[in-house]
Amino acid sequence: MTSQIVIDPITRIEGHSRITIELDDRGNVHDAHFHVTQFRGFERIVQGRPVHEMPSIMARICGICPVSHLIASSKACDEILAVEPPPTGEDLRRVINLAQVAQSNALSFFHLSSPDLLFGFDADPGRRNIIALARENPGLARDGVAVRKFGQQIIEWLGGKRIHPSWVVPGGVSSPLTADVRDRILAAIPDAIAAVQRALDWYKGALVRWEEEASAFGDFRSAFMALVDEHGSVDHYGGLLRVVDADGEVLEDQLDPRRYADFIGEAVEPWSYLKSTYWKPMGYPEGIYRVGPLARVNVADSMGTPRADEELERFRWRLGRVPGSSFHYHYARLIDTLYAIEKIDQLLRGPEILSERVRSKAEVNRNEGIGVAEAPRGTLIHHYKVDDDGIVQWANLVIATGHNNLAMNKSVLQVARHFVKGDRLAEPMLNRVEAVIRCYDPCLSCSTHAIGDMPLVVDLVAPDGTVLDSLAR
Amino acid sequence: MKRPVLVIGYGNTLRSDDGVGPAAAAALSCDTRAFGLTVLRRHQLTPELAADVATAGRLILIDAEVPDADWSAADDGGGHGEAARITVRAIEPAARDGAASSHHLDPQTLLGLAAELYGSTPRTYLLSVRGTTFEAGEELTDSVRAAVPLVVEAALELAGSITGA
Repeated sequence: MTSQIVIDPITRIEGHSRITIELDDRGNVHDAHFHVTQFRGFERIVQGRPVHEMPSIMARICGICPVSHLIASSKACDEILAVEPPPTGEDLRRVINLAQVAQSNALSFFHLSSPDLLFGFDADPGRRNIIALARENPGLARDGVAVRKFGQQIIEWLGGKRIHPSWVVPGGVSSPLTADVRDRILAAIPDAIAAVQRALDWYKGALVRWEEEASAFGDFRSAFMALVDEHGSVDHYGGLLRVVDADGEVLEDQLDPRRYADFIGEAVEPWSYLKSTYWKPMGYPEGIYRVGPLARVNVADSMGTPRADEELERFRWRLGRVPGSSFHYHYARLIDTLYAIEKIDQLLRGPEILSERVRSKAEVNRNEGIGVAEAPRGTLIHHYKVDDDGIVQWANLVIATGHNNLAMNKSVLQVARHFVKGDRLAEPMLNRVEAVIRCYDPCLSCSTHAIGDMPLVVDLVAPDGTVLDSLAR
Repeated sequence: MKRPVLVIGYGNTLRSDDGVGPAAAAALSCDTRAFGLTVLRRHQLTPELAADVATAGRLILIDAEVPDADWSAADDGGGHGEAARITVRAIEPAARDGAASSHHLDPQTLLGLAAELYGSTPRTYLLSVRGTTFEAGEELTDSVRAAVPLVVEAALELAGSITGA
């Protein structure tokens, strides 16, 4: 009788991790953990660097969502410089941020998760891949390629390159938008919207097949957190934080995200390099909350764009005002993507979008800055402290995937208890355990960051697993 | 209408010799003989490239190659100004994708995706440059840097720009 099941690596997610499932003597699931096995150390790397380098350095945390880090980092730098970007500069930052959301959400839904959704969680693993997806439903696969390309192309046109663009800078953006680029993006919008709409129609028709999964894939009561604007609509760039409970009742509203440390705590567990954040009023580990597309649709009163609002209404009619199952991240992610494309269209039609005033400049005027934005996966926080010369002394990053760590671990345990039977292991059981992680679309390269000092612990372990000696420094 | 030749140089420019693909693509972009070629520099091969690949008449990929465990720098001149080894091989579409992650693809899977989605794949060549180091760094090693002009020549020849074919 096995006592521990290890799933290593977890496939079709970004980054490196594994899941361990502990079984009791009767073969029932006793406990489960999601272990993030990457370590980065950006908080130490940036110490001693000039603050104006921070957006470029931080963009290199990730190759999937570098723009999110550019945005949050630049906003932190704005604080340190004590500047506000000109309105056009802010709108252009919003455009590239939304393009990031569209392409990253498309990657998650169409390429990483849809093989399970199309073929089923019991399908032959040899079929659950992008080629088989293309063969089985070429329309869906083409739409995924199209939406990814749409988002990546905007990032390249604005930022100069698709990975680690450098256009977003402290104070705004480095160059104005040309009419040519604006028109190219606008011309691409109808097809992008149509692609997402087709995916939504397919998904809504297929959702009924996954009732069992939806009831076990992280279906629990938790709070949800996201940025909203002054109208209570989704806001990926600015706004204030709102936290709602599992019934949709507002726990906190109009929270200045720069005071995040007052209400968000960070904890570390020895079995993962991923920090766990928690809602301080509820303590650790009870203070579970979720962020990302599902949180955004649960927290906001509305999306703020017409088609996305229509889809949100259908979403709520079908699933309730605040659906608690993490399975519904997939559905929310598509609505999030639709909103992003519609919002890009709205922003580009603004009368001042071609203004050449896109950047405010100043020297260091404050010794601390905090920048917050909604990344594709949820709320992202960059917090820096600098000396009077603008040299970084300290940095803290709170990543979306970290906000979801407690929820992901709870979800893995729930799925394992529902589907995994230790006396008759089958691959589809383990696939479902992996698949619940995919609901959250974690970005593990982004997510592993330090708090405080990082001790070095060396264990001397015997072949049977007994720890013979341990040294810590 | 003649379909374009697409050249994609890909790799991580922050991992020393892994950046040879983008470096060679950049050098190719500056060569007047490359007029008419579509040259892209990418970090990785990603699914959305399938749409570009499907419309190409010929595809040339440029990437770094990790040396075998028993390789030594002396095999490629050991930094004495000699260029790193370049290999050229034809690539066929994959029938299935065996990668654990689908946000980046190998050349065969990219071709397979283009074939499935758009019914078309170009004749494809992979130009591999054997790298010396893949540690953090923005510079190419001497032997790999010396290989870049040779990669450009090879790419132009494969593209038919020299022979006019």
